[in-house]
Amino acid sequence: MGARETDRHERFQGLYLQHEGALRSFLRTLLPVPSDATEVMQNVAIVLWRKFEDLGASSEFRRWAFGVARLEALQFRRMKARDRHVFDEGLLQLLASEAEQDADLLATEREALSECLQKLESSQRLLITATYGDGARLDEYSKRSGRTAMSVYKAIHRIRMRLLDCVRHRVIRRADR
Amino acid sequence: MSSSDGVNGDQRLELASRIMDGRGSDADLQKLQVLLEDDAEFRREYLRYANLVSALGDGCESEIAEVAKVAVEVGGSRTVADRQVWLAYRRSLTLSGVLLGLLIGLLGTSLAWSMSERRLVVTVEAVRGLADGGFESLSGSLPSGFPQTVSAWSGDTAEVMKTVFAVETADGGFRGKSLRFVTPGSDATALQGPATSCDVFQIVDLRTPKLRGLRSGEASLELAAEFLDLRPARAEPPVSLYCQMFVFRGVPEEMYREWPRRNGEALASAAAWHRSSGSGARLPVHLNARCFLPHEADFVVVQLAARPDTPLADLGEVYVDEVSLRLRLQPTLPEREVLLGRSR
Repeated sequence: MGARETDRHERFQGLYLQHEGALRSFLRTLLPVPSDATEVMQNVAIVLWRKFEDLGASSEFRRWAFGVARLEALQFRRMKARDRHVFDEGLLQLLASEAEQDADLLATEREALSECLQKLESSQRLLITATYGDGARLDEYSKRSGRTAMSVYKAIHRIRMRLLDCVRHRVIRRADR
Repeated sequence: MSSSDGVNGDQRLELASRIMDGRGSDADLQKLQVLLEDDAEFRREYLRYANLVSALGDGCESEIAEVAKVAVEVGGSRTVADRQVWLAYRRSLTLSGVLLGLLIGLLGTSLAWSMSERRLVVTVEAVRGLADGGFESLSGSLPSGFPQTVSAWSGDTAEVMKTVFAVETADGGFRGKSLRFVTPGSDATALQGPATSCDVFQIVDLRTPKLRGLRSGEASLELAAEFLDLRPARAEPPVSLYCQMFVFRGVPEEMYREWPRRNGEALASAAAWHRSSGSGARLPVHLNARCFLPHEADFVVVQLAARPDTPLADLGEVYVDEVSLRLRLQPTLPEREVLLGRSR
C-alpha cells in the first residue's frame, strides 16, 4: 500500500471511529428496530469509505456521514415498506433533521453516560452487563435469572430512565462550569 | 400526547423501549409513529432515549462490562474522547465483516496489523481494593479515626449525604451521594495538636498476585477525586482541597498505630491540591495525583482532605466524590503513537 493510500486509510479510520457512536445513534433514531439499524450501519460504513474522496475538510465528516446515513436509511425504508411497517418518509426526514440539530447535545450525553453507569447499583450494572454485553439476549438472561422476560424488560427500561435522568443532570452540571 | 390516545408519558418511552429491544410489533411501530408525528417534545425525548439505548447497546458494552474494573486507553492521553475512540475501535473489531473485508481487501493487511499493535500500548484498570469511591454504600457520619482495616473510609468528622446533584430514584430513594467534610480534627497520634484539617482515609491493599508480578517502572498509580465547594463565591476562609496517596511496605492493618509518623517511610507518594473560595457556579474541581508503583509496595493510603486557612468549626458545603484509584500498566515496549493506528 502506497503512502498516499495509507494516509487516506488512516484519515478515514480516524474520522469513522471518532463519529461511529454518533452515526449509530443517528440510525437507531431513524430505524428503532435493532436489526434494521445494524444492517444499514454496515451499508453506511461501506458507502462512506467508497465515497471518502468526496469529503472536503475533516471537520465536515459528521455532517457528511449523517447525510449518507439519512439516504441509506431512506433507501432501506423504501425496500422494507413493501413487507412491513417502518417509519414513513416524512417522519424519517423530520427525525433526521432534529437529530442533526441536536448532535452536539447527544454527543455530550453519550460522554456523560459512562459516569452515570458508575453510579448504578451493582445489581443494576449486572443486569445491564448481562443484557448488553457480548450480544447476550434479554430472554436468555431472564431464563438464567429465573425472572420473567417482562420483568427483566421493565427493569431495563427503569434503569435506562434513571440513566437518562443522571445524564441530564451531568450535562447541566457541565454546562454550568 | 393526549390522554385520548390511551398512552401516557411513561408509556410512550416504554413503547419505544419495546421496539428498540426488538419486541415491538408492526402495530407498536405505527403507534410510535403517530406519537412522534404529533408531539415535538416527545420527539426530543425519543432522540435522547434512542441515543442512550444506542450508546448502551452498541457503544458502551466494553465500558459496561468493565465499569470500575478495566478501561483500556491509548497513547498515554487520558481524555474521554480518546477512551471513546479506543472503545469504538474495540467495537469495530466486531463490526461487519463486510467493512473489514472491504478495507482489508483494498488496503492489504495494515488494518489487522494496526489492530494487533494497539493492544500493546497502555492499559489502565481500577484498583479493586478501593471501596465505594462514589460514597453510595455509606450514609451518615463516617467512622472516626484512621482506618484499621483495608477498603473502608474513616477519618475526621465527615458525613455522606445527598447533594444538589443527587438523582431521585423510582423507589423514593436517591443516587448521587457525596462525602461532606464537616470538622477539622487532630492527628490520631497527636490528639493535642491543632485541628487544622478534615482528613478522610482509606487503605488499599496492593498485595494481589497480579500486582506482585509487576516490575518496578511498569506500573503507576493514579488517584483522582472530584471536589465540590458549594459555598458562595469568595467564601471565607479559603479551603485547600487535597487528594494524596502514600505507598508503603508492611502490614496495612497496623498502619493506624503510626499514622502519620511513618509518612517519611513511604516508598512513593503523590498529591494534588486546589485552594478554593467557593463557587457560585457550582464548579467541581477534579484533582489527579500519580506516582510510580514500586514492586515491593504492599498497600497505599488514600487521603482526601479539606484544610481551611483559618480554624473553622464547620466547613460548610465542601464535598468530595468520584474517588478512583487506577493502575496504569505500561509494559517496557517501544513507545507508539497510537491514535488510530500510527506506529513509530
